[in-house]
Amino acid sequence: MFMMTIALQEPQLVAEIMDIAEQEGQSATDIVNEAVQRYVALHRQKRIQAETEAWYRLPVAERQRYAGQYVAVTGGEVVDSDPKRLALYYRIKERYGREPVLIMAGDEQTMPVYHITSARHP
Amino acid sequence: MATPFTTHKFPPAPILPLRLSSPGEPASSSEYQDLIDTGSDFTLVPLRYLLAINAPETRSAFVRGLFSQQQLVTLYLVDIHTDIGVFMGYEVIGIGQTDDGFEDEEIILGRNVLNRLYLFLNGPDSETQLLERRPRRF
Repeated sequence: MFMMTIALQEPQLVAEIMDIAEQEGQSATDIVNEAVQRYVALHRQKRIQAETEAWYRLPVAERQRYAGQYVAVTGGEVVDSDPKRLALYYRIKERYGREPVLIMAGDEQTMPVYHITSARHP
Repeated sequence: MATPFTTHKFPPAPILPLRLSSPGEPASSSEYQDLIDTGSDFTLVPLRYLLAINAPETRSAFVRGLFSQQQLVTLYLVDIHTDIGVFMGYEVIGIGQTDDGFEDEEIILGRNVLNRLYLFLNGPDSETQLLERRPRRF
């Protein structure tokens, strides 16, 4: 496993992390790892959001070409399509590795709204 | 195998045990008790469970709760491992921390998955059973 040491250069931040670690009963390393993991996840979500918006900006005629298929979109362009989502996912993974690539049904003309009737969610 | 309803809720609620993985990967070591919720269009999974298995993002969508505003969410692709087999390539909504800093520990199994299952909810005995095939008769 590749590991690298990255130094925190804000003394106040270090002090706060140490405080939190003590309060939570966790190591400071675990807390920093979790925080960075969430930052990376948020960054990836923003990229997927941008690709989703790019898909809906494509002309309707262009999107209708992919009716009945799943599309893969990166850099604002459709790079692959397949009637089977998993088959498409495996090809995209082979080609782009862990890069976030939008995969969605080509039939989608507007962003769907899902309803969660449980009172606590989302 | 029958799973007892959880008594952490009142009245007791039907749950199913399952594990998650990225598509095509072995199941994670963590087993979760998922709340069965036919009122939910989609399955919700705490984001940290998805990050733990490196689940790939698929797309953005909106989600709206009973008493909440519509909000933008990210969907992830996972395999769902159950007692009777693996359900491959299902999308789930990743739920991060809410505005009040609360992150739920609970997976909500919504209709995008439930509608593919044969489930026997035995209310009087407070247990749930995931069936391999449609029962001949009741």
